[in-house]
Amino acid sequence: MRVTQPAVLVGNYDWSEAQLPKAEYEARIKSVLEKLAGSGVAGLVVYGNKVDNAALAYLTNFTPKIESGIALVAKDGKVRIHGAGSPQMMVNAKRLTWVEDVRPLRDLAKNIGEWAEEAAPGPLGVWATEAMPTDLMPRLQAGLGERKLVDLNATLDPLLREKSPSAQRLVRGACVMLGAASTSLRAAFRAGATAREAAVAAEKSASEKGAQDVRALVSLSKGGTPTAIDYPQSGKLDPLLAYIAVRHAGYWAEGSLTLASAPGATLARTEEALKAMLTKVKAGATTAEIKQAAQEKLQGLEIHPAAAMPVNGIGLSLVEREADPQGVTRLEEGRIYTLRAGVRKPESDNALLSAMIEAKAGQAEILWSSLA
Amino acid sequence: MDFAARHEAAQRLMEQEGIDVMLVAPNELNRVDTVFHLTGYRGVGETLAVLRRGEKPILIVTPEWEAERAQARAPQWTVRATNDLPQVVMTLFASGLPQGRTATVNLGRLPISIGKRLGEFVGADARKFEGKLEKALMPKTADEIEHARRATAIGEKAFERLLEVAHVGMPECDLAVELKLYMEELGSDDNFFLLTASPHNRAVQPSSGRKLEKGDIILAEMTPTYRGQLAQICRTAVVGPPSNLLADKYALVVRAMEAGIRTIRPGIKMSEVANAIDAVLSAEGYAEYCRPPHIRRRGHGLGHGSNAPGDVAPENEVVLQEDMVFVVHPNQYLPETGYLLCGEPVRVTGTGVEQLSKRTARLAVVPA
Repeated sequence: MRVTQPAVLVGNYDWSEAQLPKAEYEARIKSVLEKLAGSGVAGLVVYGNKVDNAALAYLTNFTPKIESGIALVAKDGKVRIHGAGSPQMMVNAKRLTWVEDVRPLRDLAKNIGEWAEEAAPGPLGVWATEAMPTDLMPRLQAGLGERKLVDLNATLDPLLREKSPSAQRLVRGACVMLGAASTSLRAAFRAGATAREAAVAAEKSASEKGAQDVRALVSLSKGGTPTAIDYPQSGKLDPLLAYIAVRHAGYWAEGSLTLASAPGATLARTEEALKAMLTKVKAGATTAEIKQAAQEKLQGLEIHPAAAMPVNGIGLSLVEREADPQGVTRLEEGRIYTLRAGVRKPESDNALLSAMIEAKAGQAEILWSSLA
Repeated sequence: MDFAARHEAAQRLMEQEGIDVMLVAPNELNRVDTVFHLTGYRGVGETLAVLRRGEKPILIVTPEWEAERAQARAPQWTVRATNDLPQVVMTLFASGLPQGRTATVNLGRLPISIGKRLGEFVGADARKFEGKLEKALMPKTADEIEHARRATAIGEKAFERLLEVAHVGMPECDLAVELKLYMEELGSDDNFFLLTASPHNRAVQPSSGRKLEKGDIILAEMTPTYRGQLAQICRTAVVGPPSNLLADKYALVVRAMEAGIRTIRPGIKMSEVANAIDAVLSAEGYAEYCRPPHIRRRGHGLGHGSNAPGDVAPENEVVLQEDMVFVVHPNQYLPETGYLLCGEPVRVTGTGVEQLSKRTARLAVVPA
């Protein structure tokens, strides 16, 4: 789901050898270079910003805590990073990555142009262009003169979707933190907290467990769709719908919850729908059959718009980009997914539930679920 | 000015400039959300404000499930919630946008995934109105000024909390996260919060996992929002007893800041505020530290809606007017002590200046 975007990322995004060793990043660089072999590109520009930084984090762990950053990957595997801020601010920027060459980003086009002068002739690949501001690409191209930029999202995005054992371990860690946050949210709700208080309790809990980032959305009105907490006060809402996203060492976990002191039929049927989806998930299962399983339990009810996409990949992004523009079509072994079921009704009797799973042959492992 | 008046000001601008349609997007990466400034709604996804001369304005929000909050925050606007923002624009203007009579604001700042399609539809001849619209909408609303006061109070309380909870061995990030959550509890909804520590800081930066040590100088640039309005206080604390040198130099930086604040009144140029600060520091022999690479500005406007009136900098010739709100922060690097932070948010009054913070920065001490 979409979440609020803070002005600056405050949590701990420092690279840690213990969490994800340099050797793993070197293997990732190697995978990228193998994919680039034969493409004719002389080097790769990887873009990221504080909102969308999956590709940058994948290769370098560098996550811009303010504004934007780029990694410049030469054909020999040498990496340079430019991060937002003055030269004096690079002290902490360097802690964000295993890459030793970290420089200030002053003029992105100029920085890339200077680096390109040292690279071999030929076009440059660009990765994660979708996150770029629209006016940036023409400026980059203008700064490079005759040297062309080639969009490599389709070639390289599959690497983001693969989950190594280390990546799976980190997602599991994020799910543990999500579990703590959702437990706190439930406890706060039962104790009569306001929607805002419950959200803050969830965020505190995940932070105390070591999450580097946590964003909670909650209903604005009884049974309302979870949204940003942009007002200082909020009421005690029952039912309360909530969404929590937790990030751990770059990897996200997310969950949707519906809390009600007197659970109604809609919630019960949504639970049945999510359970039915979980019986279908395994490597090779199609999104169509998972969706069908949910729809059989929700006949006659309107699907909640926040559950319109019943399956999405999750990892370094909350919603991973798929090869098919419609989204996930078939579950792949070893990948991590969110399953989502939800119902919207004219009155406040709405429900949103979700689970995170790892797709395995013949079954799926449930990493977190909002089912009680 | 309120949101209705802001919309009227935008309509007047369109009339003066011969514009029939204006498409306004946020510039989120630079912490300026012009859509929020116009409507009171700050999106979780991409947003677009569509202004049509003489017609009810339209607020397009993404994703589709964001309709409820958008309508609650922007009751004067027709809200269209969608997962396909460009398509809504294309449907609204099915026969095309008026040639030569369309203006845009920040469309280039939308992510390519949306901005490319939208830009192709809008075409290259649309006029760019970033500066013009900001100027037309510059005055803060009475609510925004009050929100800036509330945000300032939250920042001040958070600094008190910092002095209570910071301790040797605590990672910067843990301290920053704890304070950010505390500010959320107090009613803040976002925070441009930089906090770093070192015995000799070169700059204030986003926090890292570095653990606090005795002798560290903690720099805290606390910028909570209250209902979307940012306010900033800049503070410095030393872990353990400060040296006389540090205390003296900090007093100098505060004195420079106070000189800058004292100059503020309607009718002067923003550059005069910066020059007043520089004069105090230059008189003490720090002239070369009053320019880049050591310092670029002595404060700035406070978003999210708008950063007007811009930077407190020698080159800013904006004339101050009543109800302008900005932060004055010398935030000076001195070779003997490193970078030191002090800063207060202010409002230009009819005759002078109102400091929004209750207490002016003083060098604080964290027990070690």
